[in-house]
Amino acid sequence: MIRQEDLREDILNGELTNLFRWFLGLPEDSLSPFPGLMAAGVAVGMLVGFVALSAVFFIWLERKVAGRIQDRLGPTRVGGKFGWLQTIADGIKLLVKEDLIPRDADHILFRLGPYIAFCGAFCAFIALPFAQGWTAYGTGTGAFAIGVFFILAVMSTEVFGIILAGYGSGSKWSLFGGMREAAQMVGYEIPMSLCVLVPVIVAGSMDLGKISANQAGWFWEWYVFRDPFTFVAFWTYFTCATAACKRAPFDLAEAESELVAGFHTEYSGLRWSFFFMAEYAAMFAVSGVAVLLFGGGWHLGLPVWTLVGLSPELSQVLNWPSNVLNIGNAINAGVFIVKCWVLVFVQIWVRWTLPRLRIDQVMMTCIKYLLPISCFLMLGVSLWEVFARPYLGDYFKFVLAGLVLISIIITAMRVFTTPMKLPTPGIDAPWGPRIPAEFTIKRS
Amino acid sequence: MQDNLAIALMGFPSQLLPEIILGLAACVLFLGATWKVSRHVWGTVALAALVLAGLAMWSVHHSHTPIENEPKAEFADTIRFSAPVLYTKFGVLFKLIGLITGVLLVLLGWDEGGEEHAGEYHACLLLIAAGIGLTGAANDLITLFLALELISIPTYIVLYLPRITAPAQEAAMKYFLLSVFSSGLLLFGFSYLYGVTGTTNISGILDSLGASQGGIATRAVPTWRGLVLVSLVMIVAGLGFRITAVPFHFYAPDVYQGTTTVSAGMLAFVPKIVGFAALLKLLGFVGDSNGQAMGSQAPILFWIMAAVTMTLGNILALWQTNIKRLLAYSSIAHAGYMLIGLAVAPRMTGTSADAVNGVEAVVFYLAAYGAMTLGSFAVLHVLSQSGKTVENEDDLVGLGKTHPVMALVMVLFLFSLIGMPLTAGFVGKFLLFFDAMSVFSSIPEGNAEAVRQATEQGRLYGLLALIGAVNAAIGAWYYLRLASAMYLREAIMPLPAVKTTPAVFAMVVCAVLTLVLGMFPSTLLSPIREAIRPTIAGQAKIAADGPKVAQR
Amino acid sequence: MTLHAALFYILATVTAISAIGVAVTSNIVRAATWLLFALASTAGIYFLLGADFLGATQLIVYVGGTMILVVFGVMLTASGPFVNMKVGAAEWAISLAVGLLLYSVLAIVLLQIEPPSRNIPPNHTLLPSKHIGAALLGSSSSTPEAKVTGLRGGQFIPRTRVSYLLPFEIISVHLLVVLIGAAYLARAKRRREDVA
Repeated sequence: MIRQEDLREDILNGELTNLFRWFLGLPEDSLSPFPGLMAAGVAVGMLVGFVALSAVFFIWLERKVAGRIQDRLGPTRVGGKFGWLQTIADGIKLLVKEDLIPRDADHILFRLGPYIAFCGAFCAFIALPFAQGWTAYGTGTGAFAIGVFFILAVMSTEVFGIILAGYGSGSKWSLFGGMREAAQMVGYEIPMSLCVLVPVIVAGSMDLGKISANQAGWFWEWYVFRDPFTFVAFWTYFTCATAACKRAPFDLAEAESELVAGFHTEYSGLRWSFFFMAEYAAMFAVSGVAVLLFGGGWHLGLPVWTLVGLSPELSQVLNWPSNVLNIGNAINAGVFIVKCWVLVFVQIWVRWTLPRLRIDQVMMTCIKYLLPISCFLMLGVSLWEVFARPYLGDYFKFVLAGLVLISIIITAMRVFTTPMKLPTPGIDAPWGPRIPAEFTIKRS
Repeated sequence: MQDNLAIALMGFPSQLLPEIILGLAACVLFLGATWKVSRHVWGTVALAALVLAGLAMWSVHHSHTPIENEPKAEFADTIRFSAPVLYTKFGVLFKLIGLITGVLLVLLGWDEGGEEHAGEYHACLLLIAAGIGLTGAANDLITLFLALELISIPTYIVLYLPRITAPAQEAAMKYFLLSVFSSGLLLFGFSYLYGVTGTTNISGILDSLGASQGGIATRAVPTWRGLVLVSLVMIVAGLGFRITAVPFHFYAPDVYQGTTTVSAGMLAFVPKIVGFAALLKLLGFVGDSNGQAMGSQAPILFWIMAAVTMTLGNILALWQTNIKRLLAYSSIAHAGYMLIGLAVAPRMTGTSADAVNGVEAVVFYLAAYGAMTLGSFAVLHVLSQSGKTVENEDDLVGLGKTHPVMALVMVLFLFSLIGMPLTAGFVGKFLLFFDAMSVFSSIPEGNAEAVRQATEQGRLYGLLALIGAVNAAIGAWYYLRLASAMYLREAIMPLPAVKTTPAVFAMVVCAVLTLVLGMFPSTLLSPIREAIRPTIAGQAKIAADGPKVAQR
Repeated sequence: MTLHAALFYILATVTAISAIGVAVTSNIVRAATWLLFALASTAGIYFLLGADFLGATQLIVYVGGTMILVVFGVMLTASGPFVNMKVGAAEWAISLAVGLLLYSVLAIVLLQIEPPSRNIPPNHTLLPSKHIGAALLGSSSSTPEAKVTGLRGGQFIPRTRVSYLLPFEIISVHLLVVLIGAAYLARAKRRREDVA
């Protein structure tokens, strides 16, 4: 029979199969598939919950940021001062909305599109490590050996859902949206994959957990500062990733000024919200890949945890109980999620700041600029690793990290010291003078 | 690990220097064609690249030892069981054929199509020449497939570039789709072969199948025998498309008719030679094995294919009035003759060094067929260049009076296609039919059962030779019909005078080759024998040289 | 039934049903969608076998590349809203006969093979991507080993590495030619429109 103490250890390690064996009253060497399926179900439930909750948060964030950038307040009413529950209210509205399928649509493809899109984006989370060993697939025995390749592969299936939706709607606006998405994605996947290869070459592994573990310690250990090529690769990757999530300025598939709503013109209700879930899930996933590959993964960049003794490595040396390790991992996961949020915020920021490109400009950006740049980066980083590193040693990263830090400090100082000129007096800016009392919105 | 990586990266096969030169030259042509539009410049560059590749081949010949001559057996085995390409005599032979074909095609295609496409056109021809050489050198399923595709893919462009008319586009499309389908069949066969043997290395595969001990009978009845047979059928089907064997021939007449004369000539020869080269390699015809690596059913398969292919090709050719269609059916028929050699080959090993093995006959026939078919298409092309397109039999009427030299050359090629003595075609046919007949005469002594079986087989092969002879007679009918149209009928609208172009030079080269191969066949036969049966040829050489050495 | 067996049966069923769906659907994009499921569940079988790299490659090449191009091509070339292939009864009969013939041949052949002698557990010791790459370059001995009979008087012939570096280079030449061919196809079309 399964012993309680072992069970406790297993649960802390994220191995739930034995728990369900015990729950179903099966012996430890039972071959029944059900405990495994149930354990997988728990993992899937946790991931779906996480994806759905982050989507709720991101939609609120999007509206809030958009409001601020456009000199508005954004949602303010539902659920308190900042409109916290706005997305929930939207969700309830979408749930009760009438679910329409146009008469001329291809019914099967129309129904299938949103689910394929969501599955594609969601599957990326299977390989995304949130902390040391916290991966849905490959827990315990080590992370997924080809994690980043897997993520690129499943993210490419998301597009298929969009194209099916565009084609199956039987509407010309949708068809245009679908075609644009197909052309765009087939192009942008290439520079994106090539940029992903840059840190993979540096790390010598496609295992995201290993790549992230390589960047432990101070923030200059992050791959983005490692050499000039990885530095440029980060920005190139992020541009391509923004395009891969079909976010503005690359949201040609939607292009509401020309195509009504692009590929989801004919969608309403729950199916429509699946597209949004997929979009926000993909945003988080590509940001997560960027953080893991370039931005130090789940490491804070200041080795505080090592000093306090909560780092997994140190706790092993000190022979601390494993739940302490899990606390450290939980904090690391928090750091990782916050980093991803920052990048998602940047995507939202870019969306509401830059105008949309034309489709030919989008394709030209990819084929004429991003593709040659990414090829050059891949070649450059290989040559750097072989020829430049033996002579320069590791010192370059201090230079680059220092420069970036100094420029961030200078920018921040200028922003916060320059007096804010308000275009419309009286509306609250993110920083700046307090709103005079007579302008605040009075609540009854 | 590090030094192994260095070996893998730096030990890039220098034996492929000719192919690398051709590939680089193709890149130069592709790039250069964007800023300079001139058929003469790019034609000259292509010829120069081919000559350079020839020189490279000569230098490689002096710096490399063919694997058969490698004194250290262990080292030779290591190379043989790991290298993606091998430097063998077989490979050298095909490299040479590839370069000569390349020169002929560049000369023929000099004035083909629009001037603005000349660079790309010649680049594709260079890649095709490189592909022929690479097919001969390939020692890995993947390299072999890529070499075959290195010929197919430029061929699509060559078919498409010169003429954008509806029939030409239809021809290009038809060829493209069927070629892709045949590649799919080939890959399916390869995948089964890989699954059975666990390697993509052709030497390794043949060794696994026990090629040198009589084929898949390494165990009494291996359970995976069926897999090998499926793979055999799929490979023969995939390559059968390239060699236009029945039932994969049906595209040939339409495509040849739709496309230009030069492209048709190329299609008649290049896919055939690489298709046969791949078959010879994969089925273990080269070397000491007997071509039954994938089972003793292979000869039966080839027997049936040979009989059906040559009969159907010849009979359907009788009704054709369009010369390109006629030559297409003739090409099918010749594929049938060549298949005789593959059917016979397994019965002929172990015979004396003087006898010509079926495989050697096939390779000789391929070279001879290349000279005569490229030559006859060249004549049509040269005649068409002066303005009027020569397509139909009626266009040739009275050629003997109006263009006596051209008519004479055409008759030479037609006689060679028939198999008249003193031409290359005669030697090829003679060797093939003689091989099929000689199975009967080489019945071994032994127990009654073995003799009975051998007699049975001898009868079968005798029947095949008989079918071949009847077919040669049918073929003579329609070739002679063309010749008689040229000499015995009066021209109503004589063709304009022929301009002297590079294509004329190619035509002359083909004519000379046809005659030389016909009168001095041993110039080609002895290198072929060395390539196909290195050990037996080596023994024969020692036997021949022995007395001389003793005299000294 | 173990978890692996259960998952295998699920994936195999999905693959088979989707493959039949591809064959019997006359709407091209629906067939492509069926094909998507067939290919994706094949990738799932690869994952189940521990061949993660192969599975991901299957996904990125077929699902992410080929299938999108298929639908893209249909969208670009279709004249009506939904493209259907008209298939006659004779065509049905012939293709069914040929398909069943091929299927029965393959099935008979595959059923002849003796089952694996021991029960091999699903191997989850995954090769790092570095090893796979090095093996493809030919600098590692982890390429699959052939059943070399070791003739020549029982002497063992060492199977060394098989390098795929050269094929890789040849493929780049292929792609160059394909690019140029595609450019010509596209350009020729535009010119004809200008004439018309």
